[in-house]
Amino acid sequence: MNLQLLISGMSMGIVYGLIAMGMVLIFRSVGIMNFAQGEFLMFGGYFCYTFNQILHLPIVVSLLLASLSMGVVGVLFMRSSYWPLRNAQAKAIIVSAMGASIAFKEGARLIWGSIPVSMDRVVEGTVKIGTASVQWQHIAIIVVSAVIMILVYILLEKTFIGNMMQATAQDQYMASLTGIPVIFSIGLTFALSAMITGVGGGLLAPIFFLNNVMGGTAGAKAFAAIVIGGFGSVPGAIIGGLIVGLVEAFGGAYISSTYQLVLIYVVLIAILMIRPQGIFGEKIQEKA
Amino acid sequence: MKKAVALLLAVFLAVGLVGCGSGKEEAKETAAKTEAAKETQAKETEGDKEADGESEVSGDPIKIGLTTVLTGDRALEGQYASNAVKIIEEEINSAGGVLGRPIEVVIEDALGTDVGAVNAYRKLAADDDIVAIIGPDSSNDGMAQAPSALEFSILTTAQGSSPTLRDMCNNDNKWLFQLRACDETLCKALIKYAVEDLGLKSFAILHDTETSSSDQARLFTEALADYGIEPMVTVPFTTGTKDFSSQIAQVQNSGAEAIIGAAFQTEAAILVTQIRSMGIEAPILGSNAFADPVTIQLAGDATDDVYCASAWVPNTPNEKGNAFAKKYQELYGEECGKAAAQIYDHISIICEAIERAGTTDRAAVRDAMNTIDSYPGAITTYDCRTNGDCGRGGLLVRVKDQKAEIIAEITSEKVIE
Amino acid sequence: MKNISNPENAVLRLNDVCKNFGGVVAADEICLEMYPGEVFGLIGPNGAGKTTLLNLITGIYMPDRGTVVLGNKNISKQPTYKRARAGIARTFQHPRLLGRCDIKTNIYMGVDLANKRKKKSGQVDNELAVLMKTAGLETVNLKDTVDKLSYGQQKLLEIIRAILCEPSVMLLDEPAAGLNNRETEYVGALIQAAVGKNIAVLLIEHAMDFVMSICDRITVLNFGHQIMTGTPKEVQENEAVIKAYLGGGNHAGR
Repeated sequence: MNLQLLISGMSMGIVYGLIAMGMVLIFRSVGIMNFAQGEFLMFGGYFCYTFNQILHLPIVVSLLLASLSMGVVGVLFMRSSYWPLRNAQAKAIIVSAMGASIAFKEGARLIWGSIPVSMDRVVEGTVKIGTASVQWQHIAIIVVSAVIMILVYILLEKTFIGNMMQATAQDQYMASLTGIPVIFSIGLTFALSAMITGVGGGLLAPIFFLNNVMGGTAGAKAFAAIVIGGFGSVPGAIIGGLIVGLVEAFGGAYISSTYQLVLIYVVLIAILMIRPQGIFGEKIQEKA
Repeated sequence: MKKAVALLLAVFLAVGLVGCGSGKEEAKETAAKTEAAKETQAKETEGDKEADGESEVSGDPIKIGLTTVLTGDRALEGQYASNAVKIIEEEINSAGGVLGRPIEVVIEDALGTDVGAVNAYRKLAADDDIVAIIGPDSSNDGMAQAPSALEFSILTTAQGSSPTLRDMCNNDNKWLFQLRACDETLCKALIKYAVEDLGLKSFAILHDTETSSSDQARLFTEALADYGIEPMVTVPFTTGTKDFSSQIAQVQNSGAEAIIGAAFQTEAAILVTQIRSMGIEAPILGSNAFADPVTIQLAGDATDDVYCASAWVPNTPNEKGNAFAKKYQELYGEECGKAAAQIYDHISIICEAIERAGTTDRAAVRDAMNTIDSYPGAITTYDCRTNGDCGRGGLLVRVKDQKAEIIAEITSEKVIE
Repeated sequence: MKNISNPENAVLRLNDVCKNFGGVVAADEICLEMYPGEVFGLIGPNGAGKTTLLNLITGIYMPDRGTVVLGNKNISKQPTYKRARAGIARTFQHPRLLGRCDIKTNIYMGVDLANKRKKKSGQVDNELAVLMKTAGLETVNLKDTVDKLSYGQQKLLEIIRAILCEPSVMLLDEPAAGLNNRETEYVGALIQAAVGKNIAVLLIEHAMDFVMSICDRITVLNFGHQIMTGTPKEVQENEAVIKAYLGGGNHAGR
C-alpha cells in the first residue's frame, strides 16, 4: 500500500511541480503571482480532450498540440491581463489575473459544457510491483513531467533564448539596453509557463476527469508548493510540488482524508516557521 | 491593439466552439442546441415567448421557477435540468399548454451552495408571475429554501431525498413537497439485497462530506444495523477530490469484503476506476450517481458489477420514463441521468396541479397538489396526499457492459397520516 | 579635435530636445552633436538633467519636442531595444550585470544581440582578452559569476561589454564613481580603447580632473538648461559655469 501511495503521491506531486514551475517562471519574469495558473491546467486538459476525443488524434500528438495551443493562450493572457497593467500596482495585476481565471472557467463551461470528460491515457493498464497495483499512467506522468522539466532547464540555462528570458526576468531595463525586446521575451515566458502547465492537465485528465472548476484547488496546492520550496526558485517549485503530493497521499491515508488540503497547509506553516524563505528560498533581487 | 486582441479571443472561442463539434455531427448539434437552450433559459425572459409556441396556446405564459446548479463542481445537475426543461416545455406547450396558456420555466443558478439556493429562490419568488418553484437536487440546499417558501407562500417542490427533508415537508412546512422516494427506502433496499441476496457480511463506507452523501452514509449504516452489522470503516472525502489512493488504502486495511459508496458522478467514476485498477475485486454498492450514464461513460468497464439503488435509470421499465430517455438521447446525443427525469416530472406535476386548481393562484395550486394521488411520472407514480415522500419508487440496478440492468423495482408503502 | 568640422559626420544629434515632467523642466531645447571617436563630457550639478538626457537618448523617455537622430535616422520614437540594436550602449552608475550568470554569459548576451551574431566568437574572445588586459582584469576567470567581482571590477566589465557591442555611441554614467585612483585610470584606458574603435563616448562625471583631462568637448547643464558647450579650457574659464557649478568647491574629485 505504501508503494501505491508513494507512486500516486509522486505523480500528483510532480504535476503540482509543473504548475508551480509555471507560476515561478511568471513570477521571476514580471514579479507577480499568477492566480490563473490553475486554469492553465484545466484549459490545457480540455484542449487535449478536444484533440484526442473529438478530432480523434493519438494521445501523444494531442498532448503536443494542446501544449502549443496553451502557448498561444499564454501569450494572449499576457497581452490582455498583464501588459496593459504592467506599470500599475501589483494588486491591480493580481486582481486582473483573478478576473482572467473566472473568464477561463466560464469560457470552458460555455465551450465544453458542464459534463465531466475524460480522454485516452498515454499508457493503458496497470502493472504489479510487489503487492501493489500501479496504474501505468501514473508512471507515464512522472516520466513525461521529468522530461519536460529537463527540457525547460536546458532551454533556460543553455540556450540563447533562455538567457534572454532570464536576463529580462532579472532586469528589464538592462535587458532592453542590450537589445532584447522585452515584450517578446515576457510573452515567451508566459507561453512557456502555460505550455508546461497545460500538458499537466492532459496527463492528469484520464485519471481524474476534467471539469471546468478543477483549476482552483490545483492552483492553491501549487501555491503551497512554491512557498514550501522557496519563492522564486525553480528547483524549489518542483521539490515543493513533490512534498505537497506526498503529504496529500500519506497524510490522507494515515491521518485524515477529509482534511488533506488542511494538512498541506499545516506542513506549509511548519516549514515556514523553521525556515521562512522556504527550502531553496533566496532573497528576491532588488531592482536597481 | 486591444481590438485586435479582443477579435483574436473571439475568433479563438469561435474556433473552440466549432472545433469541439467537428468530426461529430451529433455533438455539433448538441453543442449548438445546448448553447441555444442555455442562452434562452439562463436569462430572465419577461414575456418572451418560446420560439416553438404553437397556435393552440395563447395568452401570457404561466411561469414556473427552477433553482438548479449551473456552475461549479456539480454543474452537471444544471445541464441535465436545462436540457430536460426544453423537452417538457415543448411537450406541454404543443399539447395545449396549461389552462390554455403556454408554460415558461425561469431558471436561476443555485451555485451549489445553500446561500446560492436561497438567493436564487428569493429572486424567483419575488416575481408575482411565478406560480411554483422547483428546488435544487441537494436536500441540504432545498431545506435552506424552506423558510422562504413559508414567507412567500409559494408551492415549492424539493428534489432532495433525505429523510430530514421528508419530515420537514410532512410536519413543518405545508408549502414544501418532496417529490421523490426518500433515501431511507433506497438505502434499505440496497443493503437488503447485499446482505440477503449477495450474502455479504462486512462493509466499508466511502462517502462525500457533502450533506446528501453524508446522510446516505448514515442511512446505509442504519440499514446495516438492522442486520446487526457495523461498517468496518467509514472514510469521508471532500467533493473535488481527485486521487483516492489514501481513502482506498484505508478501506483495504479494514478487510471489508464489500465497498459502499455515496458520492456524485465524477467522484464515483474516479473511485470505481481507482478501486478496480488497484486490483480490488470487492463488490461495490453505490448511491444514485454510481449508475448515472456520465459515471459509466467516464469509468467505462470499471463499472461492471457495480450495484446501485437509484431513483431512475434510462432503461427503466416505466413507459413514460423510457420515452423521455429516448427523446433526450435523440435531442442531445447522449443518455441522461435521474436529475433530468426529476425535472421532467416536477414540471409535469406542477402543471397538473395548476390544471386541477383551475387558476394560477399560489394557494389554490398548493391545495391542488394534495389531491394528486397516483400521477404517473417518468420516474415513478406520485402520491402527494401528504407532502413528503411523494414518489415512492426506485430501481435496484447492476451495471453490466456499461449499461444499467434492472434487478428489481423498489417501492415503499406510504404512511398516510 | 577630431572630425568636428562637418556636422554631417555627426553620429548622434539632439535637436532642440525638450522634456517636461508636469511642470518641471528636465530638458530645455538641448542641442548637441557627437562625432565618431570623440569623448564628449556632460557635467552639471545634481538634478541638472544629465540622467534625463541619457534616458532620452536610450529611449526610456520620448522627447516632448525636438528630435534624437542617430546617424541619419530619427530614433526619437523608437523603443529602447531597437535603439540598442541600432548602436547605442549605456553603462550604469551602479553596475547592472546579471549577478547570477557567469562573466562570459554576461559579455556574450550583449554582443550577440547587438551584432546579430555576425561576429565569430573567436574574434570576440580575442578582443575581450585585449580589453580585459587594458582594464587590469587579465587574472579574472571568465567562468566565475559576476557577483564574485569587486564593485570597481564590475563597472569596468560593463564598459568592456559595451565596447564589444561595437556601438556608434557609448553612454557612460559616472563610470569613475566609487572607484579608486588606479581603477579610474583603467576607465580612462578603456575610453581610449573605445576612441580607437571610432566609438563616440558620452561621459557623465563629477570627477572634474578626470573629465577635463579626457574630454574633447564638454556641455554644461543646469536645471535642464544648457549653459554652454566647448573645450575643457573654455568651460573652465566660463563665468556662468563657474558661478553655477565649478566655483565654490563644487567639484569634488572622487
